[in-house]
Amino acid sequence: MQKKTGLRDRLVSLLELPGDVVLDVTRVTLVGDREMVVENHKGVVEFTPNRVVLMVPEGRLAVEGQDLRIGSISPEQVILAGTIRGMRYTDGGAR
Amino acid sequence: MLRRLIAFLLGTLRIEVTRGSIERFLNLCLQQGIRLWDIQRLPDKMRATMTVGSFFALRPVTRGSRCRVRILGRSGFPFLAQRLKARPVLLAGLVGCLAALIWAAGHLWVIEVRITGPKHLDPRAVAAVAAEAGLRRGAWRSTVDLARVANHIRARIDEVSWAVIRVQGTRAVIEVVEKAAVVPPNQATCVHLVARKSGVVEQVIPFQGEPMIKKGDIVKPGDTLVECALRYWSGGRPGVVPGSPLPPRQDVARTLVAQASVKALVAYQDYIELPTRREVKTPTGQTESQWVLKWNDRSILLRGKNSPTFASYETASRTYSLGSWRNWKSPVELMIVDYHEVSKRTESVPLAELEQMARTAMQRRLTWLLGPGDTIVRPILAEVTEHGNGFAGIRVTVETLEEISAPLEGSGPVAPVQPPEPEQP
Repeated sequence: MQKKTGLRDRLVSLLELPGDVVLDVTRVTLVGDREMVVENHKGVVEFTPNRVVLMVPEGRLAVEGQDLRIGSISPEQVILAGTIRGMRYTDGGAR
Repeated sequence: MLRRLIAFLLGTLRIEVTRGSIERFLNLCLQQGIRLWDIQRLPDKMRATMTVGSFFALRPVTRGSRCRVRILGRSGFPFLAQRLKARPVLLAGLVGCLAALIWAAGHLWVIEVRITGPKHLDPRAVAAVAAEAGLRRGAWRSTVDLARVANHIRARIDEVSWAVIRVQGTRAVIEVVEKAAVVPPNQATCVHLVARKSGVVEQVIPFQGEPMIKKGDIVKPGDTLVECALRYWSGGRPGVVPGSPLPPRQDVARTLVAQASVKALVAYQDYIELPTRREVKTPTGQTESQWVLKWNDRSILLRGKNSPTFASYETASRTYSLGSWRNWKSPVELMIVDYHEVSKRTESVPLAELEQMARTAMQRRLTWLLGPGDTIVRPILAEVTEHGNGFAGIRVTVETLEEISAPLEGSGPVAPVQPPEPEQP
Protein backbone atom coordinates (compact mmCIF):
# COMPACT_ATOMS: atom_id res chain seq x y z
CA MET A 1 0.00 0.00 0.00
CA GLN A 2 2.79 2.37 0.97
CA LYS A 3 4.60 1.58 -2.28
CA LYS A 4 1.48 2.31 -4.33
CA THR A 5 0.97 5.72 -2.67
CA GLY A 6 4.60 6.60 -3.25
CA LEU A 7 4.24 5.75 -6.91
CA ARG A 8 1.12 7.90 -7.17
CA ASP A 9 2.91 10.81 -5.44
CA ARG A 10 5.82 10.53 -7.85
CA LEU A 11 3.45 10.40 -10.83
CA VAL A 12 1.58 13.51 -9.64
CA SER A 13 4.90 15.33 -9.16
CA LEU A 14 6.21 14.19 -12.55
CA LEU A 15 3.09 15.15 -14.49
CA GLU A 16 2.59 18.35 -12.41
CA LEU A 17 -1.01 17.39 -11.68
CA PRO A 18 -2.95 19.22 -8.92
CA GLY A 19 -2.47 17.08 -5.80
CA ASP A 20 -5.78 18.10 -4.17
CA VAL A 21 -7.67 16.76 -7.19
CA VAL A 22 -5.78 13.55 -7.84
CA LEU A 23 -4.76 12.50 -4.32
CA ASP A 24 -7.03 11.86 -1.37
CA VAL A 25 -5.78 14.79 0.72
CA THR A 26 -7.29 17.73 2.59
CA ARG A 27 -7.49 21.18 1.09
CA VAL A 28 -7.29 23.96 3.66
CA THR A 29 -8.05 27.56 2.70
CA LEU A 30 -7.36 30.33 5.21
CA VAL A 31 -8.99 33.74 4.88
CA GLY A 32 -6.84 35.99 7.05
CA ASP A 33 -7.14 34.81 10.63
CA ARG A 34 -10.93 34.84 10.69
CA GLU A 35 -12.08 32.00 8.46
CA MET A 36 -10.79 28.59 7.49
CA VAL A 37 -12.32 26.27 4.92
CA VAL A 38 -11.39 22.60 5.26
CA GLU A 39 -12.41 20.44 2.31
CA ASN A 40 -12.41 16.61 2.29
CA HIS A 41 -12.81 16.04 6.05
CA LYS A 42 -14.04 12.87 7.75
CA GLY A 43 -15.77 14.27 10.81
CA VAL A 44 -15.41 16.25 14.05
CA VAL A 45 -13.32 14.83 16.88
CA GLU A 46 -13.34 17.79 19.26
CA PHE A 47 -15.22 21.05 19.27
CA THR A 48 -14.62 23.74 21.89
CA PRO A 49 -14.45 27.55 21.62
CA ASN A 50 -10.62 27.37 21.68
CA ARG A 51 -9.90 24.20 19.75
CA VAL A 52 -11.45 22.25 16.91
CA VAL A 53 -10.05 18.88 15.88
CA LEU A 54 -11.17 17.38 12.58
CA MET A 55 -10.61 13.89 11.24
CA VAL A 56 -8.90 14.15 7.85
CA PRO A 57 -7.33 11.56 5.48
CA GLU A 58 -3.84 12.55 6.75
CA GLY A 59 -4.79 11.94 10.38
CA ARG A 60 -6.14 14.74 12.54
CA LEU A 61 -6.15 18.46 11.93
CA ALA A 62 -6.14 20.57 15.10
CA VAL A 63 -7.13 24.20 14.79
CA GLU A 64 -6.54 26.51 17.72
CA GLY A 65 -7.95 29.97 18.27
CA GLN A 66 -10.50 32.03 20.16
CA ASP A 67 -14.30 32.08 19.92
CA LEU A 68 -14.20 29.34 17.33
CA ARG A 69 -17.51 28.57 15.63
CA ILE A 70 -18.51 26.27 12.84
CA GLY A 71 -19.95 28.53 10.14
CA SER A 72 -21.36 25.55 8.30
CA ILE A 73 -20.73 21.84 8.13
CA SER A 74 -21.51 19.42 5.32
CA PRO A 75 -20.02 16.06 4.26
CA GLU A 76 -17.73 17.91 1.80
CA GLN A 77 -16.43 20.82 3.82
CA VAL A 78 -16.30 22.60 7.17
CA ILE A 79 -16.13 26.36 7.44
CA LEU A 80 -14.57 27.51 10.71
CA ALA A 81 -14.97 31.10 11.89
CA GLY A 82 -13.48 33.02 14.78
CA THR A 83 -9.91 34.11 15.52
CA ILE A 84 -7.60 31.39 14.21
CA ARG A 85 -4.20 31.24 15.91
CA GLY A 86 -2.75 28.08 14.42
CA MET A 87 -3.22 24.64 12.98
CA ARG A 88 -1.24 21.42 12.96
CA TYR A 89 -1.55 17.84 11.85
CA THR A 90 -1.41 15.13 14.50
CA ASP A 91 -1.38 11.33 14.21
CA GLY A 92 0.27 11.69 10.78
CA GLY A 93 0.56 8.61 8.56
CA ALA A 94 -2.77 7.24 9.62
CA ARG A 95 -3.94 6.63 6.06
CA MET B 1 -27.41 34.65 -1.02
CA LEU B 2 -29.37 31.93 -2.83
CA ARG B 3 -28.79 29.51 0.03
CA ARG B 4 -30.10 32.07 2.53
CA LEU B 5 -33.14 32.72 0.38
CA ILE B 6 -33.90 29.01 0.15
CA ALA B 7 -33.43 28.66 3.93
CA PHE B 8 -35.85 31.57 4.48
CA LEU B 9 -38.45 30.00 2.20
CA LEU B 10 -38.12 26.58 3.86
CA GLY B 11 -38.08 28.04 7.36
CA THR B 12 -35.23 27.68 9.86
CA LEU B 13 -34.91 26.67 13.51
CA ARG B 14 -32.33 27.74 16.08
CA ILE B 15 -31.69 24.72 18.26
CA GLU B 16 -29.80 24.13 21.49
CA VAL B 17 -28.09 20.75 22.03
CA THR B 18 -27.27 19.72 25.63
CA ARG B 19 -25.92 16.64 27.42
CA GLY B 20 -24.39 13.64 25.61
CA SER B 21 -21.55 13.91 23.12
CA ILE B 22 -21.73 17.07 21.01
CA GLU B 23 -19.05 15.84 18.56
CA ARG B 24 -20.92 12.59 18.02
CA PHE B 25 -24.09 14.60 17.44
CA LEU B 26 -22.31 16.57 14.69
CA ASN B 27 -20.88 13.43 13.05
CA LEU B 28 -24.26 11.67 13.08
CA CYS B 29 -25.82 14.77 11.51
CA LEU B 30 -23.19 14.52 8.75
CA GLN B 31 -24.02 10.86 8.23
CA GLN B 32 -27.75 11.60 8.03
CA GLY B 33 -27.13 14.44 5.57
CA ILE B 34 -28.50 17.06 7.96
CA ARG B 35 -27.02 20.45 7.21
CA LEU B 36 -26.19 22.68 10.18
CA TRP B 37 -24.79 26.16 10.14
CA ASP B 38 -23.85 28.97 12.50
CA ILE B 39 -22.77 26.42 15.13
CA GLN B 40 -21.72 28.01 18.40
CA ARG B 41 -20.08 26.09 21.24
CA LEU B 42 -20.80 27.08 24.82
CA PRO B 43 -19.22 25.37 27.83
CA ASP B 44 -21.88 22.70 28.26
CA LYS B 45 -24.05 23.10 25.21
CA MET B 46 -24.10 23.92 21.50
CA ARG B 47 -26.35 26.10 19.42
CA ALA B 48 -26.93 25.64 15.70
CA THR B 49 -29.33 26.54 12.93
CA MET B 50 -31.09 24.06 10.64
CA THR B 51 -34.03 23.86 8.28
CA VAL B 52 -37.45 22.80 9.57
CA GLY B 53 -37.49 19.71 7.33
CA SER B 54 -34.22 18.44 8.78
CA PHE B 55 -35.50 18.77 12.37
CA PHE B 56 -37.79 15.78 11.94
CA ALA B 57 -34.82 13.61 10.93
CA LEU B 58 -33.01 14.38 14.21
CA ARG B 59 -34.53 11.57 16.31
CA PRO B 60 -31.94 8.84 15.45
CA VAL B 61 -29.17 11.42 15.89
CA THR B 62 -30.27 12.43 19.37
CA ARG B 63 -30.74 8.80 20.33
CA GLY B 64 -27.28 7.83 19.07
CA SER B 65 -25.48 10.75 20.71
CA ARG B 66 -27.65 10.79 23.88
CA CYS B 67 -28.17 14.54 23.45
CA ARG B 68 -31.23 16.61 24.12
CA VAL B 69 -32.41 19.14 21.56
CA ARG B 70 -34.47 22.20 22.36
CA ILE B 71 -35.82 24.77 19.91
CA LEU B 72 -34.74 28.30 20.76
CA GLY B 73 -36.32 30.18 17.89
CA ARG B 74 -38.15 29.90 14.59
CA SER B 75 -37.80 32.08 11.54
CA GLY B 76 -38.54 32.02 7.83
CA PHE B 77 -41.52 32.19 5.57
CA PRO B 78 -43.63 29.28 6.96
CA PHE B 79 -43.62 30.85 10.47
CA LEU B 80 -44.17 34.35 9.06
CA ALA B 81 -47.13 33.08 7.05
CA GLN B 82 -48.55 31.42 10.14
CA ARG B 83 -48.26 34.66 12.10
CA LEU B 84 -49.83 36.65 9.27
CA LYS B 85 -52.67 34.17 9.02
CA ALA B 86 -53.63 35.14 12.53
CA ARG B 87 -53.56 38.84 11.58
CA PRO B 88 -55.64 39.21 8.39
CA VAL B 89 -55.69 43.00 8.52
CA LEU B 90 -51.91 43.18 8.46
CA LEU B 91 -51.86 40.72 5.54
CA ALA B 92 -54.42 42.80 3.68
CA GLY B 93 -52.34 45.90 4.34
CA LEU B 94 -49.25 44.23 2.94
CA VAL B 95 -51.07 43.03 -0.16
CA GLY B 96 -52.61 46.48 -0.59
CA CYS B 97 -49.20 48.15 -0.30
CA LEU B 98 -47.76 45.79 -2.89
CA ALA B 99 -50.66 46.40 -5.27
CA ALA B 100 -50.35 50.17 -4.80
CA LEU B 101 -46.65 49.97 -5.51
CA ILE B 102 -47.21 47.99 -8.72
CA TRP B 103 -50.01 50.35 -9.77
CA ALA B 104 -47.91 53.45 -9.13
CA ALA B 105 -44.86 52.03 -10.89
CA GLY B 106 -46.93 51.18 -13.97
CA HIS B 107 -47.91 54.78 -14.66
CA LEU B 108 -46.04 57.75 -16.10
CA TRP B 109 -45.98 60.57 -13.58
CA VAL B 110 -43.41 62.97 -15.03
CA ILE B 111 -43.39 64.18 -18.65
CA GLU B 112 -40.24 66.12 -19.48
CA VAL B 113 -39.54 67.91 -22.75
CA ARG B 114 -35.96 68.55 -23.85
CA ILE B 115 -35.48 70.76 -26.91
CA THR B 116 -32.26 71.04 -28.86
CA GLY B 117 -31.88 73.86 -31.37
CA PRO B 118 -32.81 77.55 -31.55
CA LYS B 119 -35.38 77.09 -28.68
CA HIS B 120 -38.24 78.89 -30.44
CA LEU B 121 -40.54 76.02 -29.56
CA ASP B 122 -42.58 76.08 -26.35
CA PRO B 123 -42.10 72.85 -24.34
CA ARG B 124 -45.73 73.07 -23.21
CA ALA B 125 -46.84 72.92 -26.85
CA VAL B 126 -44.78 69.78 -27.42
CA ALA B 127 -46.24 68.21 -24.26
CA ALA B 128 -49.77 69.10 -25.42
CA VAL B 129 -49.18 67.46 -28.83
CA ALA B 130 -47.76 64.39 -27.08
CA ALA B 131 -50.89 64.24 -24.90
CA GLU B 132 -53.01 64.07 -28.08
CA ALA B 133 -51.22 60.81 -28.95
CA GLY B 134 -51.76 59.40 -25.45
CA LEU B 135 -48.57 60.43 -23.65
CA ARG B 136 -49.93 62.33 -20.66
CA ARG B 137 -49.32 62.39 -16.93
CA GLY B 138 -51.00 59.40 -15.25
CA ALA B 139 -51.14 57.27 -18.41
CA TRP B 140 -50.51 53.53 -18.13
CA ARG B 141 -46.96 52.94 -19.34
CA SER B 142 -47.91 49.85 -21.33
CA THR B 143 -50.66 51.63 -23.27
CA VAL B 144 -48.43 54.39 -24.65
CA ASP B 145 -47.02 53.63 -28.12
CA LEU B 146 -43.79 55.63 -28.04
CA ALA B 147 -43.08 55.37 -31.79
CA ARG B 148 -46.59 56.60 -32.60
CA VAL B 149 -46.23 59.56 -30.23
CA ALA B 150 -42.87 60.50 -31.78
CA ASN B 151 -44.36 60.28 -35.30
CA HIS B 152 -47.34 62.38 -34.21
CA ILE B 153 -45.05 65.10 -32.83
CA ARG B 154 -43.02 65.16 -36.05
CA ALA B 155 -46.17 65.31 -38.16
CA ARG B 156 -47.97 67.98 -36.11
CA ILE B 157 -45.12 70.38 -35.45
CA ASP B 158 -43.36 71.58 -38.59
CA GLU B 159 -40.48 73.08 -36.63
CA VAL B 160 -39.48 69.65 -35.31
CA SER B 161 -36.96 67.76 -37.41
CA TRP B 162 -36.49 64.78 -35.09
CA ALA B 163 -38.22 63.48 -31.97
CA VAL B 164 -37.79 60.49 -29.74
CA ILE B 165 -39.32 59.45 -26.41
CA ARG B 166 -37.42 57.60 -23.74
CA VAL B 167 -39.08 56.14 -20.67
CA GLN B 168 -37.04 55.88 -17.47
CA GLY B 169 -39.17 54.32 -14.75
CA THR B 170 -42.18 56.58 -14.24
CA ARG B 171 -40.58 59.46 -16.16
CA ALA B 172 -41.00 60.01 -19.91
CA VAL B 173 -38.49 62.26 -21.62
CA ILE B 174 -39.49 63.74 -24.99
CA GLU B 175 -36.33 64.71 -26.84
CA VAL B 176 -36.96 67.08 -29.72
CA VAL B 177 -34.57 68.60 -32.22
CA GLU B 178 -35.84 71.89 -33.58
CA LYS B 179 -35.18 72.73 -37.20
CA ALA B 180 -32.31 75.16 -37.64
CA ALA B 181 -33.02 78.53 -39.23
CA VAL B 182 -33.25 78.41 -43.02
CA VAL B 183 -29.87 79.30 -44.51
CA PRO B 184 -30.07 81.17 -47.84
CA PRO B 185 -28.48 79.12 -50.63
CA ASN B 186 -25.00 80.00 -51.77
CA GLN B 187 -25.49 81.54 -55.19
CA ALA B 188 -21.96 80.53 -56.19
CA THR B 189 -22.86 76.87 -55.68
CA CYS B 190 -24.01 75.57 -59.02
CA VAL B 191 -23.05 72.12 -60.24
CA HIS B 192 -24.71 70.63 -63.33
CA LEU B 193 -25.18 66.94 -63.91
CA VAL B 194 -23.79 65.89 -67.27
CA ALA B 195 -23.72 62.61 -69.18
CA ARG B 196 -20.52 60.63 -69.00
CA LYS B 197 -21.53 58.13 -71.69
CA SER B 198 -23.63 58.05 -74.84
CA GLY B 199 -26.97 56.35 -74.54
CA VAL B 200 -30.73 56.45 -74.74
CA VAL B 201 -32.33 57.86 -71.60
CA GLU B 202 -34.55 55.29 -69.95
CA GLN B 203 -35.38 56.86 -66.57
CA VAL B 204 -34.94 60.32 -64.99
CA ILE B 205 -35.55 60.86 -61.27
CA PRO B 206 -34.55 64.43 -60.37
CA PHE B 207 -33.83 65.16 -56.70
CA GLN B 208 -32.51 68.69 -57.09
CA GLY B 209 -32.32 70.91 -60.15
CA GLU B 210 -34.11 71.26 -63.47
CA PRO B 211 -34.06 68.15 -65.72
CA MET B 212 -33.14 69.00 -69.32
CA ILE B 213 -33.85 65.55 -70.79
CA LYS B 214 -36.71 63.07 -70.82
CA LYS B 215 -37.16 59.38 -71.48
CA GLY B 216 -36.20 58.42 -75.02
CA ASP B 217 -33.68 61.27 -75.53
CA ILE B 218 -30.30 60.38 -76.98
CA VAL B 219 -27.43 61.91 -75.05
CA LYS B 220 -23.72 62.21 -75.78
CA PRO B 221 -20.90 62.52 -73.23
CA GLY B 222 -20.85 66.04 -71.80
CA ASP B 223 -24.53 66.82 -72.49
CA THR B 224 -26.26 68.57 -69.60
CA LEU B 225 -28.77 66.25 -67.98
CA VAL B 226 -29.90 68.32 -64.99
CA GLU B 227 -29.30 72.05 -64.69
CA CYS B 228 -28.18 73.48 -61.37
CA ALA B 229 -30.92 76.11 -61.22
CA LEU B 230 -34.50 76.38 -60.14
CA ARG B 231 -36.37 78.70 -62.53
CA TYR B 232 -39.69 80.44 -62.30
CA TRP B 233 -41.92 82.85 -64.18
CA SER B 234 -41.35 86.26 -62.69
CA GLY B 235 -44.84 87.43 -63.55
CA GLY B 236 -46.57 84.30 -62.37
CA ARG B 237 -47.85 81.42 -64.50
CA PRO B 238 -48.55 82.81 -68.00
CA GLY B 239 -51.86 82.21 -69.58
CA VAL B 240 -51.81 80.12 -72.73
CA VAL B 241 -54.29 78.69 -75.15
CA PRO B 242 -55.55 75.37 -73.73
CA GLY B 243 -53.59 72.47 -75.19
CA SER B 244 -50.50 74.51 -76.10
CA PRO B 245 -47.32 74.05 -74.05
CA LEU B 246 -46.25 76.53 -71.39
CA PRO B 247 -43.32 78.81 -72.26
CA PRO B 248 -40.00 77.94 -70.53
CA ARG B 249 -39.41 79.41 -67.12
CA GLN B 250 -36.57 81.90 -67.39
CA ASP B 251 -35.82 83.59 -64.07
CA VAL B 252 -33.50 81.77 -61.70
CA ALA B 253 -34.90 81.39 -58.18
CA ARG B 254 -31.70 79.92 -56.82
CA THR B 255 -28.79 77.74 -57.78
CA LEU B 256 -27.83 74.42 -56.23
CA VAL B 257 -25.90 71.22 -56.67
CA ALA B 258 -27.95 69.18 -59.12
CA GLN B 259 -28.80 65.69 -57.95
CA ALA B 260 -30.65 63.06 -59.95
CA SER B 261 -30.69 59.46 -61.00
CA VAL B 262 -30.45 59.20 -64.78
CA LYS B 263 -30.44 55.70 -66.20
CA ALA B 264 -29.78 55.11 -69.88
CA LEU B 265 -29.36 52.21 -72.28
CA VAL B 266 -25.70 52.18 -73.27
CA ALA B 267 -24.41 50.05 -76.13
CA TYR B 268 -20.85 48.75 -76.23
CA GLN B 269 -19.20 47.30 -79.32
CA ASP B 270 -15.74 45.81 -79.40
CA TYR B 271 -13.64 44.12 -82.08
CA ILE B 272 -11.42 41.30 -80.85
CA GLU B 273 -8.89 39.34 -82.90
CA LEU B 274 -8.04 35.81 -81.75
CA PRO B 275 -5.72 33.18 -83.31
CA THR B 276 -7.63 30.36 -84.99
CA ARG B 277 -4.91 27.75 -84.36
CA ARG B 278 -3.41 26.73 -81.05
CA GLU B 279 -0.51 24.58 -79.95
CA VAL B 280 -1.32 21.38 -78.08
CA LYS B 281 1.33 19.54 -76.04
CA THR B 282 0.88 15.78 -75.47
CA PRO B 283 3.17 13.92 -73.03
CA THR B 284 4.98 10.96 -74.62
CA GLY B 285 5.64 9.24 -71.30
CA GLN B 286 9.44 9.60 -71.47
CA THR B 287 10.90 11.14 -68.34
CA GLU B 288 14.37 12.16 -67.19
CA SER B 289 15.34 13.27 -63.73
CA GLN B 290 18.12 15.52 -62.52
CA TRP B 291 19.25 15.58 -58.85
CA VAL B 292 21.13 18.68 -57.83
CA LEU B 293 22.60 19.27 -54.37
CA LYS B 294 22.75 22.97 -53.54
CA TRP B 295 25.24 24.24 -50.98
CA ASN B 296 24.89 27.98 -50.53
CA ASP B 297 25.58 29.27 -54.07
CA ARG B 298 27.16 26.07 -55.38
CA SER B 299 25.32 23.31 -57.27
CA ILE B 300 26.56 19.73 -57.49
CA LEU B 301 24.91 17.43 -60.02
CA LEU B 302 24.34 14.11 -58.23
CA ARG B 303 22.31 12.27 -60.82
CA GLY B 304 21.17 12.83 -64.42
CA LYS B 305 22.55 15.04 -67.16
CA ASN B 306 23.21 18.74 -67.29
CA SER B 307 20.43 19.28 -69.80
CA PRO B 308 17.68 16.91 -70.99
CA THR B 309 18.02 15.05 -74.27
CA PHE B 310 14.41 15.81 -75.29
CA ALA B 311 13.68 18.39 -77.96
CA SER B 312 10.43 19.46 -76.24
CA TYR B 313 9.71 18.93 -72.62
CA GLU B 314 8.00 20.25 -69.53
CA THR B 315 9.67 20.46 -66.15
CA ALA B 316 8.51 19.88 -62.59
CA SER B 317 10.89 20.49 -59.71
CA ARG B 318 10.81 19.57 -56.03
CA THR B 319 13.14 20.86 -53.32
CA TYR B 320 13.98 19.09 -50.08
CA SER B 321 15.63 21.03 -47.30
CA LEU B 322 16.43 20.53 -43.61
CA GLY B 323 13.99 23.35 -42.89
CA SER B 324 14.50 26.57 -41.01
CA TRP B 325 14.30 27.80 -37.44
CA ARG B 326 13.84 31.48 -36.60
CA ASN B 327 16.25 33.34 -38.89
CA TRP B 328 18.41 30.28 -39.56
CA LYS B 329 17.96 28.51 -42.85
CA SER B 330 19.59 25.28 -43.86
CA PRO B 331 22.36 25.99 -46.44
CA VAL B 332 21.99 22.52 -47.98
CA GLU B 333 19.04 21.51 -50.11
CA LEU B 334 18.33 18.84 -52.68
CA MET B 335 16.51 19.81 -55.87
CA ILE B 336 15.00 17.13 -58.09
CA VAL B 337 13.98 18.28 -61.57
CA ASP B 338 11.78 15.96 -63.65
CA TYR B 339 11.78 16.51 -67.43
CA HIS B 340 8.70 15.12 -69.19
CA GLU B 341 9.00 14.80 -72.95
CA VAL B 342 6.07 16.24 -74.91
CA SER B 343 5.12 16.18 -78.56
CA LYS B 344 3.70 19.38 -80.03
CA ARG B 345 1.04 19.73 -82.67
CA THR B 346 -1.27 22.51 -83.77
CA GLU B 347 -5.02 22.28 -84.13
CA SER B 348 -7.69 24.68 -85.25
CA VAL B 349 -10.00 26.24 -82.65
CA PRO B 350 -13.74 25.91 -83.33
CA LEU B 351 -15.42 29.24 -84.11
CA ALA B 352 -17.99 28.70 -81.36
CA GLU B 353 -15.16 28.46 -78.86
CA LEU B 354 -13.60 31.66 -80.20
CA GLU B 355 -16.94 33.46 -79.82
CA GLN B 356 -17.24 32.22 -76.26
CA MET B 357 -13.71 33.48 -75.51
CA ALA B 358 -14.66 36.90 -76.93
CA ARG B 359 -17.82 36.98 -74.80
CA THR B 360 -15.81 36.12 -71.67
CA ALA B 361 -13.34 38.91 -72.45
CA MET B 362 -16.19 41.39 -72.79
CA GLN B 363 -17.81 40.16 -69.57
CA ARG B 364 -14.50 40.70 -67.77
CA ARG B 365 -14.25 44.23 -69.16
CA LEU B 366 -17.82 45.03 -68.08
CA THR B 367 -17.12 44.12 -64.46
CA TRP B 368 -14.76 47.12 -64.40
CA LEU B 369 -17.04 49.42 -66.38
CA LEU B 370 -20.36 48.90 -64.61
CA GLY B 371 -21.38 50.34 -61.26
CA PRO B 372 -23.16 48.50 -58.45
CA GLY B 373 -26.71 49.22 -59.69
CA ASP B 374 -25.98 48.76 -63.39
CA THR B 375 -27.23 45.71 -65.28
CA ILE B 376 -26.70 43.98 -68.62
CA VAL B 377 -29.99 44.20 -70.49
CA ARG B 378 -29.43 41.59 -73.19
CA PRO B 379 -26.99 38.67 -73.48
CA ILE B 380 -23.60 39.51 -74.95
CA LEU B 381 -23.56 38.89 -78.72
CA ALA B 382 -20.37 37.69 -80.42
CA GLU B 383 -20.11 37.28 -84.19
CA VAL B 384 -17.14 36.29 -86.35
CA THR B 385 -16.85 38.93 -89.06
CA GLU B 386 -13.47 38.06 -90.58
CA HIS B 387 -11.69 34.74 -90.84
CA GLY B 388 -8.29 33.96 -92.43
CA ASN B 389 -4.49 34.24 -92.11
CA GLY B 390 -4.63 32.35 -88.83
CA PHE B 391 -6.80 34.93 -87.11
CA ALA B 392 -10.51 35.50 -86.64
CA GLY B 393 -12.03 38.95 -86.12
CA ILE B 394 -14.97 38.87 -83.72
CA ARG B 395 -17.39 41.72 -83.09
CA VAL B 396 -18.86 41.72 -79.61
CA THR B 397 -21.89 43.84 -78.76
CA VAL B 398 -23.68 44.31 -75.46
CA GLU B 399 -26.36 46.64 -74.12
CA THR B 400 -26.45 47.81 -70.51
CA LEU B 401 -28.74 49.89 -68.35
CA GLU B 402 -26.56 52.14 -66.27
CA GLU B 403 -26.32 55.39 -64.36
CA ILE B 404 -24.78 57.92 -66.73
CA SER B 405 -24.94 61.17 -64.73
CA ALA B 406 -21.84 62.78 -63.29
CA PRO B 407 -21.43 66.18 -61.61
CA LEU B 408 -19.67 68.78 -63.73
CA GLU B 409 -17.17 70.38 -61.39
CA GLY B 410 -16.75 74.14 -61.71
CA SER B 411 -20.07 74.64 -63.48
CA GLY B 412 -20.18 78.20 -62.16
CA PRO B 413 -23.13 80.43 -61.35
CA VAL B 414 -26.06 80.67 -63.70
CA ALA B 415 -26.95 84.15 -64.68
CA PRO B 416 -30.65 84.97 -64.68
CA VAL B 417 -32.06 85.05 -68.18
CA GLN B 418 -33.14 88.56 -68.86
CA PRO B 419 -36.41 88.98 -70.70
CA PRO B 420 -35.92 90.40 -74.23
CA GLU B 421 -36.06 94.18 -74.28
CA PRO B 422 -38.89 95.68 -76.28
CA GLU B 423 -37.76 96.86 -79.70
CA GLN B 424 -37.38 100.57 -80.14
CA PRO B 425 -39.56 101.97 -82.80
